[in-house]
Amino acid sequence: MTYMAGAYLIIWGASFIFILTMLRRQAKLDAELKALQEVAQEKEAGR
Amino acid sequence: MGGSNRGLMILTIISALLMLAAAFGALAVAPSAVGLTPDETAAQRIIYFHVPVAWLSMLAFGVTAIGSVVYLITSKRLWDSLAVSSAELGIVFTLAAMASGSLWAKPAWNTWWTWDPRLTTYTIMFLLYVAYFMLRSAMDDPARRARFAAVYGIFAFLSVPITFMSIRWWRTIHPVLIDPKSGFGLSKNMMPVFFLSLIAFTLFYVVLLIYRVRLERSREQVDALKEQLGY
Repeated sequence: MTYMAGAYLIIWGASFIFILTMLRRQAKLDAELKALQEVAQEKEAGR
Repeated sequence: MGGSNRGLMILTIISALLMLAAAFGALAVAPSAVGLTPDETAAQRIIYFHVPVAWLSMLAFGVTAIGSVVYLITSKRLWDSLAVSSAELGIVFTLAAMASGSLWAKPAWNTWWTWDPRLTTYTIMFLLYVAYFMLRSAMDDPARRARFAAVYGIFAFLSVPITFMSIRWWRTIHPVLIDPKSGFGLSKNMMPVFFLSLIAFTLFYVVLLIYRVRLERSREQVDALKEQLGY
């Protein structure tokens, strides 16, 4: 059973790390997108 | 919450429940294999996990190839996003298949790793897709990057059928689960848990792919805005 537990630990661990990095990347991109949209709006208003 | 978000949330919950059911089935419901040592019997249950992730690695690279072909035909960025997202998932599943296979190999073959035709072709396939990301990271222009990656993604896919057929074409110690001569290599009472695992992992891949494509689309939006603003 140790082997099976090891195998599941690997997939759950890998999935968890992958999902976590994906969420972090998404949060970072959302923040960047928001900031860029604000800059674009300011530029638009300044014209 | 929009309709598509709610749908994705429901899909995510179903996927998580199915994964738990598959884990329970593999650990507690599936019958033990007969005629093996206790260590081999325990390790044999890895099949409910190892085969689905190995199948998904190949499916993921297949989706990359399809996305690449459609991108070259249509030049729509969505297909490039699909291709790169699926390739990334393919890498994750390939690593999981290699690690779980290695765990099984120790009690079954008395070694963690051997240069068997299946393991060798699988490693080559893995390295080809690592190179896919190296190629992408070497190019700044999004259209050029997508075009080159699409061509490479199609050629890299050639390694997938070779890997799949390696245990049928060459002399190997790797078990053959689906053999045209001897049929399916599992007993009837092992099949429900096996197919449950296969469905659970496939749905898990679909869910991850949707999230990953969304991430790629956000990145494209950021890049487009940066270009528009002159950054």
